[in-house]
Parts: sequence; structure tokens; C-alpha cells
Amino acid sequence: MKKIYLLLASLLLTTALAAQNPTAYFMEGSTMRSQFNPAFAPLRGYINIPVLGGMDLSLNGNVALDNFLYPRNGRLVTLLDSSVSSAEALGTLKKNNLLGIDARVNIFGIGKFTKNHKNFWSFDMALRLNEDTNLPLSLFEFLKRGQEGSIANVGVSTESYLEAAFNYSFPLLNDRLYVGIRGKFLAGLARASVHYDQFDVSLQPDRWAVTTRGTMEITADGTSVTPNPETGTFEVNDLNFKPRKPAGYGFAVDLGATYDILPNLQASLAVTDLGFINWSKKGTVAGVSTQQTEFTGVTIPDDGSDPTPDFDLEMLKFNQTESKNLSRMLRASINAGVEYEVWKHRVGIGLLYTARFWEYTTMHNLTGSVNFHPVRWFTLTGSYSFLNNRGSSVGLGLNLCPGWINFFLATDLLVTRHTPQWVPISQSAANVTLGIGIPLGRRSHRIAAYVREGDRK
Amino acid sequence: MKKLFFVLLCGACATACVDNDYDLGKVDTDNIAIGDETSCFEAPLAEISVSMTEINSDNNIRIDEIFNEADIWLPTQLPDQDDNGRFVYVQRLLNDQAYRNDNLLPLLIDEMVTNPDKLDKVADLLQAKYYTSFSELLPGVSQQEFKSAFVTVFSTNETLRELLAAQVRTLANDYLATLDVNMDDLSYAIDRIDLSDDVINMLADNLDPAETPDPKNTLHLAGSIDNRLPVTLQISPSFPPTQVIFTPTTIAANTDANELPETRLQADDLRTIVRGITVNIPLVLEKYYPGKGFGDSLSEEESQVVIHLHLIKRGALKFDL
Repeated sequence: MKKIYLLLASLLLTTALAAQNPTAYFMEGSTMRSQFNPAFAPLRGYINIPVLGGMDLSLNGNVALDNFLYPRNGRLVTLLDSSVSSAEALGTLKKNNLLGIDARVNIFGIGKFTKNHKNFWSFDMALRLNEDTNLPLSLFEFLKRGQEGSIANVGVSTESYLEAAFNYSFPLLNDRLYVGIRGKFLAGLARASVHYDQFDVSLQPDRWAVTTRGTMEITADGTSVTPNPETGTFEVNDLNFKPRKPAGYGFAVDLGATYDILPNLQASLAVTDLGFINWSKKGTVAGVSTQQTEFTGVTIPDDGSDPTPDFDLEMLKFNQTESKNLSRMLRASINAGVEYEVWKHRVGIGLLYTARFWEYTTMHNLTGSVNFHPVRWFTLTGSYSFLNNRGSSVGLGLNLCPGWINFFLATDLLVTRHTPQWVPISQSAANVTLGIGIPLGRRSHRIAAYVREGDRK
Repeated sequence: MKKLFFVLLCGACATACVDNDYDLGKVDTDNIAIGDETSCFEAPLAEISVSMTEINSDNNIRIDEIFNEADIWLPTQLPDQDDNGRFVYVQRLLNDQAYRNDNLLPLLIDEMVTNPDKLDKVADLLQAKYYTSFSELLPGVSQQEFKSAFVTVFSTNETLRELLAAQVRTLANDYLATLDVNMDDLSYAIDRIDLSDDVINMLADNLDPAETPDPKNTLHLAGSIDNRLPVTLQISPSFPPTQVIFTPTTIAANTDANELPETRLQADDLRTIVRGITVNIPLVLEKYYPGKGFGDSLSEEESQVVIHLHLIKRGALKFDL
């Protein structure tokens, strides 16, 4: 039984803070904006400061911290604590409780406008990490009530890869339409998935029985495993890692466009992370865990012919299966936005729809945004996001791009109730986007209101 | 100035939104539990099968043999009856002379007069075992001639019938009063019970102390007994070296799922039980149902009594991460 908790804890622990921050979508000048839509461009060329040049950490899901932790008489306890009633704990959970992470850390980035100040190219290298977890309500019903039943679709999937991308955007239709494309070469670092599609529990007075069926796959260069010679099974602890090179390679594209419907009304649409990584067979360890354990009590007198097995769940022990090459699609996103500018392009009102395709579900996000950019080097953005049709988060964003620095920060953690560790308590999303770069080369002439006579030719 | 104000506003806002009740550095996982005060979990523990050959008197007479002769001495139509049929109180047979002489034996004699089969069975028993007791009443009758002579005289000679009946009553009374029904305790050793420590800890870690009034978290041993014998039993299983003992419980004859009342366990009791115990089962025979038989169709090795033991945990299952 302890193994169930270890599995649950490991699933939750692997979900730490970390997609795309919707507050940053309409933040003009941000060098990271083209990650939402390759047709976007900053207001000036840049070269990023390594690592700090662009960090994007996002946590999204349909549950929040206060679904799992409860203050009780000065203590902070989990929903499994005896002081938390079943009704209270289970009442706030969904049928499928989803937690997803996207993390992006820019390692190197450079971008420039061409001579016409409108065509823009950039090259970026970034470390990407995706993770998503699904914990079905039936799992918590079992843990909280001790209620027998069938639990399915418990799993966690994560992957990490390096991305080297070249982006190019250019105008068409007399500058009303901008089209952008980003080609990405991907080097897979590691991936892992653990999924249980069956976890049946029977707790009858004359028979306790558990039937589980799960699979796991881990891919990383130099991964090997030495199963226990007695049992033939292995656990995660038995895995050895000696990574020296990527464990897979892939390719992806981002496609995007912006279109000025009216002089002050712009629509944008992009599909990002449309691609795959082919993970190598050589660095993959795969296993299957099928457990059928039952306890009906000891039989007396024992005829000695059929020893009773220990009632000990070994659902985290796997029998190794044949590894094979595996192609995995990236977690693609669709971003569709519309922004209307008023007051001589000093205030913009935007609406963004995002769909992100996770392993276990597709997350939908609708964000309303008000964007102040009284001068071209300063943008302040406020946003409100609806996650999966429910109110979720208030975000604030700031972009500063005077002549000597390009700095942007956007988060929805600032005005939400959060823990001393800055984890939102009731909000099911957390986003932090940060970047520092050095302006480089020509300024953008895509926005007429920002064009100055003194701009460098 | 405006920038400073903005920074201060953001700082104040961020600080104001910190909820120290949710300090992740102070997460307490000491009281992780499955279920709550209203939960009840039942887990199987053991099944004890008792065959006919194991149920013996303290003189090592098998239970079916004990009642073979008693079946002949007892009238077919017994005065007491319940849902299971007509029966005799076994302990009153031993200790209540009036019960034997006034309630049972007159019925035996009456049946011998009216029922030739009963007379025949009694005559067979007398010929085989008690022939010498009738030498004065039936002089010159050899053992081979005894049955025929006894049946003829008992059926036709009213004067002698009374004398023969008196002797029969004496013999029956003597036998029934000394019926060998002091049963040996059943005893079984259990080396260990294969429940993992995790499961044991969950069951035993958060039990309320014995002295707690109105306890919520308790552990009990309970069970049921299938009894295929034509005998109602009183049993009170104990589990040395623990002090756990069931209160004496009556187990109805020829009935499945007789309930054993719950007896409360403490954590140490459970830990001792799974490490290995002896199960002692004293048997007291209460009622015997003649004619229900000890199952000719049942083999000697077939279980006559099956005791199912299980654990009942009330309140949440405790678990420490």
C-alpha cells in the first residue's frame, strides 16, 4: 500500500512550477513574443543574455494547491490527513485532475531586422521541459474513503529537449499580412512516462485483492537497467544513466500570421510546436508491471501445497520489455488573438485563445488583455484568463526596451494569493516570463506609430 | 516618483497576497489516513477447517461414535424441538436425572411398544452388549437366541415387559448419564500470516487506547462458523500468547454463517497474531439432533466445522509517508 503513496507523491513532486504565458502575448517589444507566433517580432533586434535572455515557466491544470493542502490549527496538511473529511477533500476535485508544466530556458538568442525594418530573422537555442500528470478522482476516492473500485488513467509523462530554431517573418499584401515560420531542430535529452491503465481494488471481508497493469518507458542516452536476478523485475532505482549525447532527434515548425483587418485591428493565428522527436531504441528502457495480488487469509490446517503470497503491492516493479524506436509528437499549441488599438496606439485591447494539446487532455485558455504603451519603449499589460471555462488568473506584464536594454517580465502571481514560496494557492495556473537582452541593429517599422525620423537606417 | 510609487505598489500587493497558512515548508504528513471516523474496513485473516477425525472426546472417542449408541437409547420423538428439529440437551443428559427418567426414557419404552423397528434396534444393542444384564429375567436364553426371545416377550408378555422395560431404563440411564461428551480442545498452530508490514501498520498504527471512552479507531477480530454437525456447540476460541478470547458463543447445528461476536484487539495483539499464534478452541456440546446424522455421505476428512476469521477496522487506516 505504501507504494501507492510513493507513486502519488512522485507524480505530484515531479509537477513543480513551470507554457506560454498569455499575459506576454500582447506585450509589444518582448523578444520572446515570437515564440507565440513566428509572425511577431520585437521592436528592435537583440542579442540575449544567456539563460536570462528568456525564461518561461508555466504551470497549468484544472486543480490548485488548495485542492491538495489544507490549513488545520496552525498546521498545513494534505487532503489525505485524517482531519480533512472525505466530502471536503473530494468535493473540489475533478473527474481527471490535471497538472501540466512547460518550461523554456533560452540559452542563446539573436534576432535582427533586415534593411527594410520589417523582415525579421532570429536564431535561438533553448532548453525545453514538458510534463503532464493525470490523477483521476477515483484514485483519491480510494485513498480517502478506502472505497474499492476500478481506477484507470493514472500517469505522468515528461520530456526534455534542446531546441535550435531559426525564425523568419516578412510582410505581404502591402504590409497588412505578416507571415512567419520557425524551423526547429530538436535534440532529445530525456523522456519518461509511467502510466497505469488498470488499478482495481477489492476490499471484501473474505478477500483483499489488487490488480494493476502499468507501463513505463525511459529514454536517455546511456540508460541501462539490471533487473533483480531473483525476481527478474526492476525499479526506477535500478536504472543507470550515463548521458553523453542526445537520445533522439526531431524536427518541428511554428507557423504563424498576423493580419490587419483594419488599421487598428489586428488578428493573429499560429500553430506552434508542430513536430516530433524520434527517440532511439538504444537509450530506451521499457517495462510493464502487471500485478495480481490477493489475500484471503491463511488456511488451517495448511496442506503445504500452495504457499500464500505476501500481500505486498509491487506496482512500481517492472518486467523489462523489448525497447523500440519511438516517435513522439510535441505538445502543439494553437494561439489565436485579436487586438484593437485606440488612442493613437497608446492602448490596446486584446483577446487571446490558446489550446494546448497535452498527453492526457487539451487545455483551453481564453485571455482578455489591456495593454498600455504610451511610449514605444514601455509596455504595461494587464490580463485576465479563463482556464477551461472558469475564471482563473490576473496577470501583469512589463516590457522596457530603451536604447540600451531589453527587459520584460510578465506573471500572474503578483496579485494572486500565494504561498511564501510564491506558489498560487487557489489559482490553477502560474506563469512567469522573464528576459533580458541587449538591443541590436535596426528598429521595427512594422508599427507606424513607432517610426521615428531618427531611427537608424 | 511615479516609477517608485509603482514599484512600491507592486511590492505591497505582492506582500499582501502572501498567505502564511500555506507555508510549504511546514507541510505536515504525520496524519495521513485512508477513510475517516465513519469508515469500516474488513480484511480476511484465517480459515480453520475442522474434520470429523479431529473432534474427539477427551477419551479419544470420535464424536460420531459417541452418539451411535445414544441414538438407540433415545426415543425418536424427543420432547424438545426447535427450527433444526427434535433434540436433546446434552448437558442435561449428563446432569439431570429427572430429565432422563421422566422426559426421555418413558418415551423410549412407549416407542419400543409401538414401533417394531425401534424395538428391533434396542434388542440388537442388548444382544450385542448387554445380554448378561437380562440373565435373570430371561433365564436359559442363549446370546444367539436373545434378540428373538426379548422381542417376543416384550411384545406379548405384559408382566415381563414391565420388568424388561425397567432394566432397559436402567441401562439407558446409565449410558446417557455417562455419555463421553467432554470434548478435547481443538488446537492449531499458525506460523505466520502473510500480511505485509505496510498493511499491518495501516491497521494498527492509530488505534485508540483501550481506556478511551467512545473510541472511534478500533480493531476487532470477528468471524463466522459453518457447522455441518448435528450438534449445537458452544465455543470460545482463544489465541495465545495474546489475551484475545471470544466470549462463549453458541453455534447452531447444521447451519452456515453462525456469527462470532467481535472481540477488540490492540495493536500488539495484531502484531503478535501475524507473527504466529496458537488457536485454541474449547468445545462444549449443547444440543444433539438424533437422526440428522453425522453424514454418511461426508467423508471423514471433509470439514465438519469451518471457522472464518477476519479483522474489522473502524475509523481511518493510518499511514505515514
